[in-house]
Amino acid sequence: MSAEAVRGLVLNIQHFCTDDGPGIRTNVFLKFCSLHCKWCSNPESIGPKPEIAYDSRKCIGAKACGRCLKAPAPEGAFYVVEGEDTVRVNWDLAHEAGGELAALCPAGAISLFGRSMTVDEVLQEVEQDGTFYRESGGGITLSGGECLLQPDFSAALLREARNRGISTAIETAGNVPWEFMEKVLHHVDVMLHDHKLTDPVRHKLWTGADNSRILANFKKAYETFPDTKFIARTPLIPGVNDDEEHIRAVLAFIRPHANVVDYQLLPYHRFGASKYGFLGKVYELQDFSPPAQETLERLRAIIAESFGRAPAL
Amino acid sequence: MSEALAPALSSQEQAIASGAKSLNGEVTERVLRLYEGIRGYGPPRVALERPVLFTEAFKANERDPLVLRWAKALKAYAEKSTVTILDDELIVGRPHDWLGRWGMVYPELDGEVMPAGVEMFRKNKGKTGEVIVTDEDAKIINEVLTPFWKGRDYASNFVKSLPEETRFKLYGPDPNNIIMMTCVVMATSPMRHSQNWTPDFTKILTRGVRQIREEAEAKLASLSEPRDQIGKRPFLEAVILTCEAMTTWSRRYAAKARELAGAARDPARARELLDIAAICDWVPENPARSFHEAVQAQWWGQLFNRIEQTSSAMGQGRMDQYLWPYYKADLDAGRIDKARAMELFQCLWLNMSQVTEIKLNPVAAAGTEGFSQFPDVCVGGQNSDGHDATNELSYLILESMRPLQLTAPDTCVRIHAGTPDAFLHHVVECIKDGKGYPKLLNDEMVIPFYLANGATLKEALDWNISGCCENRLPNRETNVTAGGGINYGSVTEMTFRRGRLKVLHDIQFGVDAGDPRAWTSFDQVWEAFRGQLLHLAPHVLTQQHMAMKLKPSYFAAPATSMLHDLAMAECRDLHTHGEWFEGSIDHSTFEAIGKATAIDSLAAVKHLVFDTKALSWDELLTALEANWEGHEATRQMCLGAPKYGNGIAWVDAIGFEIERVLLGYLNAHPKPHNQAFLLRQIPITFHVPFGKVTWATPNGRLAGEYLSEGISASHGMDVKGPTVALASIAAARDRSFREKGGDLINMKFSPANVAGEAGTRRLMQIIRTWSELKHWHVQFNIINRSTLLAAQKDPQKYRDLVVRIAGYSAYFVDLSPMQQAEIIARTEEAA
Repeated sequence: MSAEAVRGLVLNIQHFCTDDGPGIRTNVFLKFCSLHCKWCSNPESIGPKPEIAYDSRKCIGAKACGRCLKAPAPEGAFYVVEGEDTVRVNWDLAHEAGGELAALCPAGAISLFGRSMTVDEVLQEVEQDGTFYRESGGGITLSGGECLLQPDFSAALLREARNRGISTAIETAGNVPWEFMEKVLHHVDVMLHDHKLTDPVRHKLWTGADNSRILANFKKAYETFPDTKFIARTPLIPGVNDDEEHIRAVLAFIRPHANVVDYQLLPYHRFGASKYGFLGKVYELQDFSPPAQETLERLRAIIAESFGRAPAL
Repeated sequence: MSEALAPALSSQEQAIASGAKSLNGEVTERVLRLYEGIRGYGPPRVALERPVLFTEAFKANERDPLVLRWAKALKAYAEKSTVTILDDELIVGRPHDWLGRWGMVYPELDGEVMPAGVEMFRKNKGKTGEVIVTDEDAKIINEVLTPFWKGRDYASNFVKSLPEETRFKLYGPDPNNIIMMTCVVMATSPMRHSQNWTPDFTKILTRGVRQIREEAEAKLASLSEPRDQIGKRPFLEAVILTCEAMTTWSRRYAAKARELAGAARDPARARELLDIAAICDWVPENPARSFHEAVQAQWWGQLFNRIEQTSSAMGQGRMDQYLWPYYKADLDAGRIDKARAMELFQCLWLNMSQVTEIKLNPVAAAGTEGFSQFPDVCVGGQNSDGHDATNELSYLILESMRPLQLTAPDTCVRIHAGTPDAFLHHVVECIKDGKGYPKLLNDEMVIPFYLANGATLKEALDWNISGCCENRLPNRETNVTAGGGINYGSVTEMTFRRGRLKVLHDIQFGVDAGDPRAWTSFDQVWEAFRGQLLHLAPHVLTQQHMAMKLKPSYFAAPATSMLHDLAMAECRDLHTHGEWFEGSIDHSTFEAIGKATAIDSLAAVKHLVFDTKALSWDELLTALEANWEGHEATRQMCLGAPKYGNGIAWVDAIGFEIERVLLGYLNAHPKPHNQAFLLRQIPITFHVPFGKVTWATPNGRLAGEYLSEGISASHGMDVKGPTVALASIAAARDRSFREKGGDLINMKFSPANVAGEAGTRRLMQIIRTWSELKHWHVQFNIINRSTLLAAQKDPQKYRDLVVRIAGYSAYFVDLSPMQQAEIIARTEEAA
């Protein structure tokens, strides 16, 4: 298939990203994921189709507006309770109605996550940062969702990015058929990949799938693509995986491979919690808080020692 | 996506939170005492000795040519003014006797409108932006100064001399109004004697005023043409008198220092005072022999220039370059160490931090909040050989500013492709302190600008900063007449309201291009906008020609002129530059304010009325007329329309086209001798008063709200972050015209975004890219939004919080509530 014909379901293109690969980068988030991590901070990225979201704080009220209450919006998808002005949503009806609803809302309270884009459309947006890549050694990072679930699009996008002189990175959880990963990795300079939990049972409990295929993919990737740089990462969730055993197990897995150049810990945060509400979903980790600074430092010191360098502050 | 466990604080925020007296680096007890004294003094106070002595001298010498009157006034000042040396001072000379901020008033500039300013400031007592005007001060202004200058000052005569239509555009329908500008078209010459200026301080340091005097004496002796007795003689006599005045003044300080030394109990201070006496005996009369003498001579130079005329935007030149030989020689001879040089610099900065620009003209005050005065110190860049010019003083100057929360001097770094990483790293660390300086100007833009305007490459390589984002070649440029400008917000309003302005009671102000409801394509909208723009633009030029014509009858500046090669060659005061100095570059400036407001308004109309047809003309115009009341949904649509600063090519192209209209117009209407009017887009704080007179605009802005600032995107509207914003801003500039002058970009980061070494590297990369994109200027506010909100609630605790405005920094608590809100609303760039 030619690059022009491939389309991807893109969630968001975020500029000036500095934590997902070297330099100043542009992150392209693709929609659809094969895991359901309970701590996920991008719940809008999980489903395979475009999704409606509703943020009632932005609603300017039925009196001033009320456009979502009448046709072409399906009856009852949005409604007002007596004595209130702010619109409420019936998620089942709203989900069914889909993207048309977002266009009705002038205030941006109703929005649509996910739009179909071509490789060229994505790169036009990405290339606005081109001068910054040159100075910082940055480039494009494909993220998600799970970017490897759209392997044709991801491969075409990264191949074309390289043709245009842009360095490429992907961020993956690895829970895909090996063929998908292999197809994309031909066009990748840096692969950031998650080691979420060691124990397969607990992995399944917290993410919805066990980690046997994931680990097999990672090992094969390290060996098949010796010139690609790999950066292992763990989203550090207190009480779930912030223990030494997990960190040491990951180190034991990655250290034999010279092309795994770093292991990074990403402390859990709650910035995504409110998004669950906008999507009509429930956030299960209401009582969780970010890991303690000393835990983070202690675990980072173990990693630094393994890599034979001074611990980062 | 970035993570922050605890909110990161800038050095300045840390210092305020912990109650520390200084930020990074050690300072001496002396410096701390001076700093505390100055900050503890409170709001600035008007300093009236100069205007009183000037007024007396002007009365006494009524028959003299103006330049000679001016010199005699300077001489009278030097002989009669109070001489004060305060405890701890190492660099002496002050036109007032208190330790604290002061601001001169200049009745020859705007004596007639000063009582209105006095009234305004006295009403403002206890509020932000306060200025101390005591009862006695008010009495002097109202009973001594204004009665003499009424009818004689420049400002009132300027207004009365304007052609009727131009006067109307600037001052509105009331023919007697000489104070309140419409803020649709603006003139700044009634607010200051001179456009931003950078004197050639090296002449005072390397020659001393005695050699300047001797040069003038020799020229005087050789005058042979009869006509020279009229023109050149008085100028040369004025130069001689001015040199004498500077010597007299410094010698009086020497005597005072000796007197104090005799009475000093502390033998160390007595020795210091004797050293000061010896230094003041020697400079500025003779060439400086040491670093201390050079710094003192520099201060005499800038202070005397301030006594001569408004200090407004007096660039201090490339201090790391011209002070370097003195520092190096002292270092080599073991006469100085880094710590001592640091202390001397800090004493100079503390002196400069007490200088404020108090505008007694209400419009001028609103346009320059926070007492801006732009005493820029320029470091880095290239030398005239084209090599990197960074030296130890480049570092030391920046380093010496770090411990203190000062708003002045403003430091500026010239950035070029060869700026060493080590120096850029240091620059970024200073920026991260969070006080808004140093600001950065780009050799890669300014040098080609000068080449396009007739400078040699050698001259262009040696350019100096001057004013908020401007530049000067001190011995070639001659324009000492402040400029004018237009309000893009008003142009936008007139486009959609048939040339009428709501705040001006709907009088017909611009062109009536008919009811927009009849327009069927965006081209018609654009043509209407263009028509309004070109309707106003000529009046900016007309008022400028009038200002240049009038000024020689009202102002002279022998102390400034004697430091200029061309003025000395022709024996003529710089204020006569309208008559052309052979070999000069004589730019004037054309300011345009609210660029993003105009772009976003036009883009919203194109998108909503034409491209998507989501809005009818009637709905939009009705909503605008109602200032959106009852039309919130329409306003939300307008706010949600595509905005400048987000890499949307067709939106950014509107900005480019707007610049091209003005640049094309200026290019077609040069000054005599083919000199250029430059398009500048630097707001100072004029985007706030300009916004006040602008009705609701189609970008979703409410009536009266501030306009966008500089060439930055509208507040909070550049949602894709700093990289896209910078690329977008670059796309909306037309740098193909020699008329493309300075413009200003504000960037705001939260301290967490630039934390640690990784954050420093990131900011370095952004700056390198900014330079590659050929931007002119950039400055940074690195501060947490929460800090600004806290400072609004507890001004006492945040008394010393310094924030960036526009080419200068100011104390947050000195700003009006509207300006504070504007600073808070500026986009916080997130990683």
